Amino acid sequence: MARWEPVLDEVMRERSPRLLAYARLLTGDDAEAQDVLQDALVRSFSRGRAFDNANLAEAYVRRAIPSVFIDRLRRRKAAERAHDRDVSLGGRDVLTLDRDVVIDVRAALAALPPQERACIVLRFYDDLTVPQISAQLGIAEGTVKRYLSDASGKLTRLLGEDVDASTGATGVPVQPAMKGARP
Amino acid sequence: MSALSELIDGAVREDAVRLGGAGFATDRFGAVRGRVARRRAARSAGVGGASVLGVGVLAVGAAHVPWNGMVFGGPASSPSVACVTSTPDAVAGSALTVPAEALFALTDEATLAVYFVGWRDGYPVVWDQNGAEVEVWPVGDQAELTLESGTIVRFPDWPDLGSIPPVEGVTVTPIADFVGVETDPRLQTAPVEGFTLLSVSGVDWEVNQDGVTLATAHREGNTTTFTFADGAVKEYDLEGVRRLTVELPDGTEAIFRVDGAELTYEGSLVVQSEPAGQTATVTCVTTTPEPSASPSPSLSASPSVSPSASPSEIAAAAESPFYCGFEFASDRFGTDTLRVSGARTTASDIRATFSDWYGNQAPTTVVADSDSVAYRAALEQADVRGATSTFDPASPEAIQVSRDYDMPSLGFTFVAVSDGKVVGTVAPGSAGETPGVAVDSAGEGSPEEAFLWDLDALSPCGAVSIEGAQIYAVAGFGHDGDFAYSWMRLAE
Repeated sequence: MARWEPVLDEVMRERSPRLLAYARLLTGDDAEAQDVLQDALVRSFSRGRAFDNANLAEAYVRRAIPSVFIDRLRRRKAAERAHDRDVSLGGRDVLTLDRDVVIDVRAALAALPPQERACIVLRFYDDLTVPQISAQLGIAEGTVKRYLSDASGKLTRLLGEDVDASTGATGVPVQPAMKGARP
Repeated sequence: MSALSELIDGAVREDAVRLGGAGFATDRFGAVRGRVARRRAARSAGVGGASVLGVGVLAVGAAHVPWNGMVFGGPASSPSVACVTSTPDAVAGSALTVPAEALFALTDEATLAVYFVGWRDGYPVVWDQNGAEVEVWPVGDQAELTLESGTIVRFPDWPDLGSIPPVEGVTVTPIADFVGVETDPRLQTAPVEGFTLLSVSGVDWEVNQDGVTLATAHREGNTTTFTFADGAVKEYDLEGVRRLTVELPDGTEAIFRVDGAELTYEGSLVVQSEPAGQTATVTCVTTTPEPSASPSPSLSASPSVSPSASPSEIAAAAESPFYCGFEFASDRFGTDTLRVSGARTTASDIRATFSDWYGNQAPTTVVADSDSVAYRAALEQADVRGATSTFDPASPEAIQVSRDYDMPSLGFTFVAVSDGKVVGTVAPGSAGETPGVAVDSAGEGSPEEAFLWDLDALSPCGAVSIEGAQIYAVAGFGHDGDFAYSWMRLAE
């Protein structure tokens, strides 16, 4: 047995619930979360690095999940993406959803377009900065800011003013200072 | 008011409980394991999961690398290209620990910390200046290293062994040129006459030249803001920074030491920074497979014949069927523990197999759906497993990979044979650069298979023509210094 196999086995048996829950935040769907996690596992373990332990492997897989999610979105055709949006919105416009229906933050996240959802999750759950989100998802910082801004407005309308979904209020550092290097 | 982050955190915790249980692991372990095994096998054979043809073009030359040189870049990353380096004397005598596998030295200009970069099995490996391995994280299709100062360096996942993209604030040096931080001319500073940094208060400074204020600096927490005489403002995050480089309006670069709340002028860079976009490179040369007169696990094996040798040299018998000049005593040879079988087939047959294995990803996409001649071979024993490549298992490269993975080495390839002798070979492990060959298996419980769908992958041994040559499948297995071989002539 190759030495990566026991680590893979341990990660899948013991760490998959947390990883699946994280993937589900992004996908809004259990089955797709499983597909995303499977791809993230394959991507992480296929690399040359041999993981020494499940903690390190889990960290790699977790970090790969958003990238896999976005890559899967990109691979889909425009028509399929449109279809997904219709499905996720239940055929209704996000802004006309009855607030009483959206009692769960998962439902509110699922009502967002996938890219906006990914940015919100990375910002509010992973606590990443705009440049970090940009780097991880491979999209421009300006686009990240726009997604965050749009999503924040929608979430405020869906979840109500009692929930602080303001990216500004939580201090999104959109223009970090330079790290001691030449500008 | 609830914070959105708290709500999301709660949702994740609930979902983790709901999604618990062995379902995912039970249902998907086999599929994940199989895909990982195939990809790693393909990687070991030099076939990238993402793109067979996407390997970066390296600096190549006609130089022939002696096998007793230091050879970097295992077969997984770019087997036919070797980067020959040596540890500079100046560094050897310093306190730095330079790993033998290092190809580049990175100096974090904000801290003067040194990192060494090499590649192992197609993935960047980084060591700190004490020789301890540093984490490199996957980000998309790249790998990311965060330096002590917080500066991020990105490496291509499937690396071009010849270069590292330039990074602002990082000095990249091919290891052969690395002379240490203390003597690197690009990092040397000298005080500029008349240049001063005056402390106005604990958090405010003035940068003066001959009594004229060039800029003021104000520090607030970890952020220091320089306001220049022309109104320009530059902001620096000093967290983790011990050495701050500030470009002045005249283009010179002043270096300030950062020690807690203190800021002092160290000097200005003697040599101006390299132009942006300049890439440090190492010298890489193409190599060709060398026949080992006596296959040996020794890393300093000294072969006597090469595929580029003259016909008379080829006449000298190599003792491994992976190399030019080997003479086959029979059309087929194998044992109960290692036996090859195979046949001629078509490209479309191979494409169909790849489509089943890889979907619409490479290498499926580079095999034509045509009836052109192709060859396919398989080991009869499904339990013969190891670090798979197209190298002779006794070659230094295969032995190195075998050590890296702590497993036996399995070589599987094709050779062109005329009059019973090998007259053409595939550059070992070079499927990534020589499209047309792959080694892989269908997964757990399935034997290793080798595919040849482009006869141009076979290079003639020197001036010998391979026109009309027969194709043999050749396999070798190495374990604990013992090597076994098998071959079969594939039907025309």
